[in-house]
Amino acid sequence: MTGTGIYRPSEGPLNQGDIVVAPVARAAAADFLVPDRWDRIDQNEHIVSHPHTSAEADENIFVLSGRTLVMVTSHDCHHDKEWNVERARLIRSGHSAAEAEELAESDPTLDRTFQASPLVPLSDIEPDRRGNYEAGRVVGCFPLPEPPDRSFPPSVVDLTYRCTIDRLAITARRWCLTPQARDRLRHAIARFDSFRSFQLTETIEEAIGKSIADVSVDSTRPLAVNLILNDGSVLQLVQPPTEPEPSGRSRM
Amino acid sequence: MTTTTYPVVEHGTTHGGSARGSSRKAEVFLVCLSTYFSEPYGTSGHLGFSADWSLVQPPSTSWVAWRAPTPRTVAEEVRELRDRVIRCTGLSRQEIARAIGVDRRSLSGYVSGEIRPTDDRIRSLRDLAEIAEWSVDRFGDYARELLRGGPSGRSLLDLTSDQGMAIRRTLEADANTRRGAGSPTIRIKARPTRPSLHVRALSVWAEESRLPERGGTPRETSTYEQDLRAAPRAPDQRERPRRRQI
Repeated sequence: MTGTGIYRPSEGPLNQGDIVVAPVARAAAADFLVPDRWDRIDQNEHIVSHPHTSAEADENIFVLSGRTLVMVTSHDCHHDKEWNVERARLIRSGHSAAEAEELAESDPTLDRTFQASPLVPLSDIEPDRRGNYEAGRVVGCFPLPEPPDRSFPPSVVDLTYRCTIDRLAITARRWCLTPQARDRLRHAIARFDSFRSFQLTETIEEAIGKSIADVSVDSTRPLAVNLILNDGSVLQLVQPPTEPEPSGRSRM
Repeated sequence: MTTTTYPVVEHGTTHGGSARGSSRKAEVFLVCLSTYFSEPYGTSGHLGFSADWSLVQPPSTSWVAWRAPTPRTVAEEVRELRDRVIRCTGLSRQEIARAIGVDRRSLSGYVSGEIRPTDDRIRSLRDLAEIAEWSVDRFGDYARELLRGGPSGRSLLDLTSDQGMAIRRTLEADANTRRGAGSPTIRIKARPTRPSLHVRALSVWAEESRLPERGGTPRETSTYEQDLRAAPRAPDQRERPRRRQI
C-alpha cells in the first residue's frame, strides 16, 4: 500500500478526509480501562467530581483525553452548515454578503464542530491481524498508507473511536484524501454505521435495466436459483428454507 | 482412621514447624484418607498441621505424608504484596491481615512459609495491593483513612470482600463526602503512554501546516442536501447574542 493517489495537500475550508492534529476525549469508567490500540491516544485521565453526587460515586465523570492525529469523518455538508444557512437567510433579508458573514460569525449558537476519528499505527495492532486491517477487511477501520512526507507511519483510521471536536481546536493540518480515496472512506463509514454488508445492494443495483435471458437451478444447491441476465452476468437468488406443509410437501 | 508409621523422607530446607530432622517418623495415612487431602490446603488450623506437608504415593498402596519445601514463590509473593500495601498506605500488618480475613499470626505464617495460604487469600491480598496503589494514586494522603473506613461506614474488611469496581466506587464516594459541598473538582493525571503520532507529524509539518479558516466558509449550495433558499427567514439580528471572542 503506497500513498500515491491517496493524499493531496490540505487547503481551503475543512473537508472530509482532512488529517489534522486535534485534541480528543472519551468517557471512561472508574478503572480507566484503555484498549491497547488506544494507548497513544488516551494520554490523560480526568475525574470530574460533583460534591452533591457524593452519595453515589456513579455520577462522577471519568474522561480519557489526548492530542493526536485524527481524520475528519463528517461529510462536507455538515461543516459550517448552520453558518451557511444563517448567512443565506441574512442575505435574503437584505444584508450584503460581508455583513451577513460577519453577523453569522458573531452568532454563538451556530455549530462549528466536526466529527473525527484518530489514527492508530498498524504497528500497534497484533501482527497476525495486521494484514486484514491493511487490506480494509476489518469493519470500523479505514487503512492509510504512509504519506509522502512520512510524517506518520502506515495506520488505520479507527472509526470505532469517534469524537466531536470544535473546528478552532485544530492545531495543524497537512494532508487530505484525494476524491477517490475519500469515496473509499465514505464506503468504510457507511459500512461501519449501517450496512455491515452492502454488497447485496450493489449487486441489485447492477442488475437494474437488464433483462433475464435464462433461469437455471443448481442441483447441488436446490435453494439457489440462477438468473442469467442478457449481458451474460448471473444473479443468484437464494430462497429462504421453509417449513414442510402438514401434507409433508414443502412449498417452493 | 487407621495409621501406621513410615520413615520420613526429608526434602530440602524446612521452614520451622513441629516436624524436623531426617530420622523423624511421619504419620502415614491409608488410601481412605486420600479424598480428604485432595482438597486445596487450608490454614494450619484447618488441617491441624503445618501446610508445608504434602502427599506422595510410594510404590505401596499407602499414602505418605511427606514434608516438602514450601514453594518459595508463594511466600515471596505474599511478602511482596504485604510490603506493597504497607509502602503505599502505611497500613499496619494487623489491618492488612484483617482486610484479607485472617489474623496477624496467619499472615506472618504466610510470609515465613510456615502456612500455605489458600488461593482465595492470595487473591484477596492481590486485590488489596491493587486497590491500595490505586487509592494512593487517586487520593494521596487520604488513601489510608479511606481504606480504614470512610463515611460510607464500610470498613476495609468489607471493601476487600468486594471486587474491583465496587471498591473503587465506594472509595470515590467516601472521598467526595470528605471533600464536602463546594464546586466540582477535576483531577488530571498523565498516563505513561507510547508517543502520540502527532509529535512527529508536527515536527515534519512545521512549515507546511495549513489550518482551516477560523471563521465559517461560504460553500456552494450544492454541497448541502437541503435547499438553503427554502430556509425560513432569520430573526432580527438584535435579538441574537454575540459570539464570545476566543
